[in-house]
Amino acid sequence: MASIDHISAAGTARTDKPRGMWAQGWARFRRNRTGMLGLGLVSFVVLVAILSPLIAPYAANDQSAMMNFGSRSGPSLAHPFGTDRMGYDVLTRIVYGAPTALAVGLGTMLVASVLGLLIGGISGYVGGWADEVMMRLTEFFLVLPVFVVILAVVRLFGVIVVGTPLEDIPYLNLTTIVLLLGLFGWPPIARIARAEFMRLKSMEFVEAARCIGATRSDILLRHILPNAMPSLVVVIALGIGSAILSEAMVSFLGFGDPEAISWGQLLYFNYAQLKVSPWASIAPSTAIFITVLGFNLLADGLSDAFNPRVK
Amino acid sequence: MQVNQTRRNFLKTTGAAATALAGGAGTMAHAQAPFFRMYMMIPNNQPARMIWGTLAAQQISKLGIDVQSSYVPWSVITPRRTNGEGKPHADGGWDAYLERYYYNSITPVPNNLFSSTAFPPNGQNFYYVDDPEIDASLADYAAAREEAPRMEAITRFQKRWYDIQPMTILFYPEDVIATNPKLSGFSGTTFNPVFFPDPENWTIADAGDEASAAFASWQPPQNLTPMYTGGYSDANVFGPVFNRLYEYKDWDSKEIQPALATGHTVSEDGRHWVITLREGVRWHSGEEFTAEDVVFTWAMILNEAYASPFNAPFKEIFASPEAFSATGKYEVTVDLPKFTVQFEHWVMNAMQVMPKHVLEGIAPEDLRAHPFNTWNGTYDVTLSDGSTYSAKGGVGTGPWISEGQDQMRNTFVYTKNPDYWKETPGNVTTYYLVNIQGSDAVLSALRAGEIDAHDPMYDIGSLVDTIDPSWGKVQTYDSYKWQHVCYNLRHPIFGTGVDTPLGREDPSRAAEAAAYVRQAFSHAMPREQIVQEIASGFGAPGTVPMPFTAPEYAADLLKPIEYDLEIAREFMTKAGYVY
Repeated sequence: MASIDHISAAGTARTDKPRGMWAQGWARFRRNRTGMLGLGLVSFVVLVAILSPLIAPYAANDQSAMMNFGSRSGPSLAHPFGTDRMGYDVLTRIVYGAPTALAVGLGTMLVASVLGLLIGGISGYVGGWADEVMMRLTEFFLVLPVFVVILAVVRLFGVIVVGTPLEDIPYLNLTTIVLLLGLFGWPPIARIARAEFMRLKSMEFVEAARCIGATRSDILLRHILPNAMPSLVVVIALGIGSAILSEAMVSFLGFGDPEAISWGQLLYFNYAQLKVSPWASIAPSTAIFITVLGFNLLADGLSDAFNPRVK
Repeated sequence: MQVNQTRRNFLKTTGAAATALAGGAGTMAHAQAPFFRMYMMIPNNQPARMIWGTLAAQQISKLGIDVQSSYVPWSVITPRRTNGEGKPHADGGWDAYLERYYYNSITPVPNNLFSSTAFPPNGQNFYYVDDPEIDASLADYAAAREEAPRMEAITRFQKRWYDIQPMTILFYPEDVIATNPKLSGFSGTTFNPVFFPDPENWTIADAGDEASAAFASWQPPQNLTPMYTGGYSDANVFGPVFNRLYEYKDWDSKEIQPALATGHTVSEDGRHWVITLREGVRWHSGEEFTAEDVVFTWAMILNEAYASPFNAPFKEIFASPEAFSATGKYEVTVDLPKFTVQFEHWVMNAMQVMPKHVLEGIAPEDLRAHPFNTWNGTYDVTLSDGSTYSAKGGVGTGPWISEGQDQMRNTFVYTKNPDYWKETPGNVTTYYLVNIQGSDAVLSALRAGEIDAHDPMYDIGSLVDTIDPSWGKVQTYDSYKWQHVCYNLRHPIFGTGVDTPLGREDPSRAAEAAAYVRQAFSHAMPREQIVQEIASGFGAPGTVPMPFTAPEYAADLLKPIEYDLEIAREFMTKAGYVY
């Protein structure tokens, strides 16, 4: 019987799956205080974005404060963050700005990630002349004066789409900004992807997969990509914060989307009134700060968690 | 009108809780498909205007119209309105945009902007105002020599405007500026209704006999040849260099005094004029100013090859270059086809005289890119004695000599003209005009002592409480301007009305239907709120394009246009739109 107990115990031990890369990473991440703080801040912003229609005290475009001669009023019970120069309730605009910020950050990095992964992945895996060509292309995009190009294209695009079905796309101007940020945001991802794919393609488990007859797409998608993801997630998380900041800058330069509610635009319209109604500038600045900080801390935490040198 | 439309109130009154998640739903107009789409271009160079522009677009959208607003630079708006031939925005022209406007003379001359004879590209009626009653009233106004018929005609113009609202006049701004407290002589300003610094009259206390001063202007100029522009950003730069035949004595009295002309005689019927010019005046090049310069200036504007936007009104005034001639070295004789108020109050008082000896050697197609117009680089001018003068920008007879522009610093440099024909009281001998963008930036520059004054486009009204008297002296001026939303009056809906339901049903009532739509726009504008909340109270609600402090303003006739969305929707209903 003792032997049966022994077998049973051994069997139990065998059914305990070894913790995977993600689980180990999560365990390490939980011990990282700044990373958890970042996750908390990002979760908070995501929550605000999801619940924005329910928690915003006023309608998104409600300018009743102006109609009632109450714009630029200080914080009060009716307007906890005050009202701005346009007669908007600042808290409402901050709340409604959260989905815009996240849409910009996530949308931008979706575009950038797909491009970066494709270009970097092919470059790293195939190597040779393809690597040379793609990396020179990457360097070309890295040295472009991104903001000048974005401002010019936003303006040009705004003219080109007039009278075409494209302009029925909601928030077209913002969508254009997101696409452009994505189109110019892929090089860092491509570089990391290239390095990871290059490193992983010669690893033993990939060789093993190749030996058992795995197809190239299997190797790429089931073996290399999942193992490259931890490094990519870090750079993507960093990029989200950076994209949010970029959109705020574009809006701050007066090239934003008049239809969209953006923290950058809120700042643009109110920064000149900093001494008169500071709440209208401080609130969007703080929102941008919290969100970007959140994503950056999250990225740092992920970096530490998935860096194998960290124990 | 009390408006309190919180989300909770909205839910309470409509019960449409589900729609709350859509966000921004707050107007009945959103419940149905929009009646039509219009594009509104909002110039992106001034946050205050962007704010009321955005507000205007949102207010119009509350009437059930899909307003596509965009923030664009003037470089996008200008070609669309000038070369668009009145086409709608989607076809390369424009639908609506916002601007601040004024007449180029103290005496209002609406003819140049709103007469059907002044369509672009050679005129400034960019809006295509084409109304027989407005045309008739303007023609009567221009032709009236006596005060009573003149006032009757201009009142008729205003009444007709009020009734059909060709554009929405939002408000009449009061100009607010801050100056260096050590600066005196600044109040002696006037260059047509454009605010004008007149730096030759400035004295900076404790700065000695050769002081320098700087003036901030928001927008960089586009053209620096007077016949190409009446815009403030251009006039701020070229103004100190040139003179007019007559000039305004001061802003308070708005009286005319001789400048390059010393006097004139006019015939009984107002058609024959003999203008005597000042002797001994010299251009900055040293060449003598004569009657040939005046004749050359007017002929150049009449020459379509130069594509001056003043060409159309000049044609209306003179008909042809044969109408004027130099009848002496210092005498110009003019025979007008008919008397017109535009000649005395606009041509003689507001149009700068340009140098024949400089410009006759520049081909019309080369002038816009020439350093005379750009102030970039130097060029040689051959004088009558065979010598050459090296010019750095415009060459005029004015109190300031252009030293060109410092592009690195966005600055135009001037030195005081030692041979100016008039004694000027100031101690400033070097003058800088610098382009600074942003009201906070300009106040910071003033506080740091980098500038001494600025133009009123900065709209610092909301910031006056932050200005300490130790570094900024706040001054306010009656601006003689207005802010408007203008519409392309060839647009098939709010221009001609042929595509409105009423216009389609009865084409003879199309224009009436378009006027209803524009009336609706006008009643959707919360003018009082714009003045109080965005312009910080510096201004007054608008009605018609006439400075509201001008004697010509028909105050008894022009009642404030009520902000009421219900009235606005009633007008839309009259045009055939069903809510």
